[in-house]
Amino acid sequence: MRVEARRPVEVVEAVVGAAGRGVLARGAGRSYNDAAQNGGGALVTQPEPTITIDPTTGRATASAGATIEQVLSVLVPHGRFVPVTPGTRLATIGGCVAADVHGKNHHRDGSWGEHLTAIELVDGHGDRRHLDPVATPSEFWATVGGMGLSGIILSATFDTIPIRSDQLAVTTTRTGDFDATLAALAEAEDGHRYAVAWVDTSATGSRRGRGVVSGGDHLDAADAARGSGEMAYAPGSPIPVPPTVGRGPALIRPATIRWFNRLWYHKVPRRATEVPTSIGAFFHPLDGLGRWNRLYGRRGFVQYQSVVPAPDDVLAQLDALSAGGATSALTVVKRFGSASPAMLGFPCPGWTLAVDVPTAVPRLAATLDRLDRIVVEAGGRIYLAKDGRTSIPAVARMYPRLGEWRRAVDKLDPQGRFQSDLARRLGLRTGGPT
Amino acid sequence: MTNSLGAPGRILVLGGGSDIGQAIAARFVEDGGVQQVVLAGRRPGDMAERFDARRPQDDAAGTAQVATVDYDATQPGAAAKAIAAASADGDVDLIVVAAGVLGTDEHNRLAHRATELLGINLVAAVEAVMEAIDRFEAQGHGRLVVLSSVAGLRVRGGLATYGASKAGLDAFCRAMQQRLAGAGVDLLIVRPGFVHSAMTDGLPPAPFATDPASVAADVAAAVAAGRAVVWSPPVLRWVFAILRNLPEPIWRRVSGR
Ligand SMILES: Cc1cc2nc3c(=O)[nH]c(=O)nc-3n(C[C@H](O)[C@H](O)[C@H](O)COP(=O)(O)OP(=O)(O)OC[C@H]3O[C@@H](n4cnc5c(N)ncnc54)[C@H](O)[C@@H]3O)c2cc1C
Ligand SMILES: NC(=O)c1ccc[n+]([C@@H]2O[C@H](COP(=O)([O-])OP(=O)(O)OC[C@H]3O[C@@H](n4cnc5c(N)ncnc54)[C@H](OP(=O)(O)O)[C@@H]3O)[C@@H](O)[C@H]2O)c1
Repeated sequence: MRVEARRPVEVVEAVVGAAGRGVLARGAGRSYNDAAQNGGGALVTQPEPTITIDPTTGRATASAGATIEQVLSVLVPHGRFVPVTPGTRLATIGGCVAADVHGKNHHRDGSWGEHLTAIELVDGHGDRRHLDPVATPSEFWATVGGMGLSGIILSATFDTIPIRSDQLAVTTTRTGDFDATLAALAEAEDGHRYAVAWVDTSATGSRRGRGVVSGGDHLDAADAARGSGEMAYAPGSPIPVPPTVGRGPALIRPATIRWFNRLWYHKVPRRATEVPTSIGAFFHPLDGLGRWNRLYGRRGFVQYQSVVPAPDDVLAQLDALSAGGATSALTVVKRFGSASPAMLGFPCPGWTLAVDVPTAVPRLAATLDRLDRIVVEAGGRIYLAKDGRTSIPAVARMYPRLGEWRRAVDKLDPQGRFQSDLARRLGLRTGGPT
Repeated sequence: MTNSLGAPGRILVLGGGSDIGQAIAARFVEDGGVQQVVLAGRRPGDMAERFDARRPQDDAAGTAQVATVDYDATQPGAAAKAIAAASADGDVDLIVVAAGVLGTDEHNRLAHRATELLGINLVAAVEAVMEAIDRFEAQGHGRLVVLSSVAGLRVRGGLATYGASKAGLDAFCRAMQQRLAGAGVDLLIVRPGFVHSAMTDGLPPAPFATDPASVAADVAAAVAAGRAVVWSPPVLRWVFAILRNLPEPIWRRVSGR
């Protein structure tokens, strides 16, 4: 059952009226699997966006259903930018808080939750609560990263950063092997607000782990060539993937994946180059391609994202993937800075790896179970917003604060009204196998 | 919960000691992603022990737990109780309806023996299917795997009651599939031929005889492909396309023992 709540009282009604299968907030559904699903229960969306900003302090308040795109279209003309953006502009503020999302600036600015000053939440009693990190730290940090299981967020207040241009200066560097990638990434992180590495999974042997590292910063001043100093944000409509794609055989298959990777790598000039780049092209490149996921064919793909303490643990995962014949189409590596206080927050100090593997790869489940084992043994974790298949015991080891989180959430929602397919699959709230 | 790779998180086998039912559960465990297997039957200790011996020793996760619940198909309400027990702390994603008896010559001659067999193979199985569907509809998803048999596709004299029980169950499930279309609940009808198992122990094998692990592999493939019916081995589909259309006198001759 879907509830489109246009006013907070409608959210309260949906919570109080929740039946056995519970209720869950849903944003834009950009999490990869079942985090925003609640089979047999109610799903609440909040379609009406409201966004306000205090131009002097730069502090903004947005309703939970507002998307990053809608927020940016208000902020950018004021010379402000969101403190953190995920790789899709379609995510909502509610989704960003609930997953405590990270961006290319995590090494410097941390995750979304660290820029929040307040959250308005409807808890399991149906009460509207004002949460902030000082007065209600336990409720606040159980909700940030809490995957919608502590309540329904109505709005969030956060600090924005000043920008002087709607363009970024982006430097890309091609690297020859994994060590070079790590070194270039460290350098990019020292020199730039935003940094990320893409790894060419077609390369083996001495070239294993080679890739392209990019570092970016908001430009210091408006682009002189464009005359006026006004800033705008208009990402435009995506280039559609033709509807026939996705019906027939997958375009992205192991053989084509290797070619895409090789081409992408060689497309980047050998020497480091700096080019002005738009917000959309730098932060949300996949959004530029409508229905891009259909390129993977009918069965789709699996995203796997982990964070592990050491680069060797990243290599071990890449090796396990190639041993399992699972060539990743899009492989991203980045170093995280310190962890936020969110009890179920994903980012923690170390190296994050994100891969995209076609589901059709034989015995993929077993290969990914092997990755889980590497991650757990290294003391790392995987990102719940992207998980669709890990196990209950693995999650318990990846998230040592699960018990603490459960107690905090049980206080906000003693009747267990907030439920999701993700929570059932991983026993997040109950602890038992579900 | 069923995971993003289609693996059921929790499997319930009604008739948890069944060789074929266990093989199906073990196959899903081997493929990864299964968190728990619940075996429902009359002899808990024996079922669990046999399943542990059967499950893959090196499944990558090694995390699937095994639990047992009571299930006696002759007791009214048994399926509902077993399903409720198995889903007390969360969803059951896949239910295998495997309990069944082959019967002896007596079951084709004595009325009370015939009704006893029909009670297990047909009445209790239909009850199990309906209870499972209720549960799945409430939770919004779920998959049923029901053990029918080629013996029900054209029933021979020597297996009259058993064949009739499977014919009835198969027909019921076919009709249920119509109702379930688009409901997020799937039902797979499995039509094995002769399978080497406890049920057929000591009997002379029929042509195209197979084993529980092969049936399980055919089931896993059919589930992945989203099929409604699977024959095991698959060739039986064509064999029975012919057998079903044989004129009665010829059928009597080829099916008589
Ligand atoms: C192309 C792409 C790139 C991405 N890149 C990144 C990235 O760089 N970094 C990153 O961290 N993530 C990334 N993600 C993941 C995405 O940012 C998160 O999954 C985010 O939560 C999606 O927001 P959403 O509004 O779509 O939420 P949904 O997917 O709808 O929901 C996600 C979770 O948030 C909860 N939720 C949503 N709204 C509310 C609310 N109002 N109150 C309480 N809970 C709520 C839901 O219950 C659910 O548990 C990416 C996803 C895609 C598709
Ligand atoms: N083997 C074949 O050739 C073949 C071919 C086609 C179809 N099938 C069908 O496949 C299914 C599984 O058969 P199988 O080969 O695996 O045989 P099996 O190993 O003998 O399994 C049958 C199971 O049913 C259980 N059972 C019988 N009566 C019961 C009752 N009243 N309550 C609860 N459980 C009961 C038995 O439990 P107990 O151990 O407690 O008796 C046994 O574990 C059956 O439905 C069968 O008809 C078999």
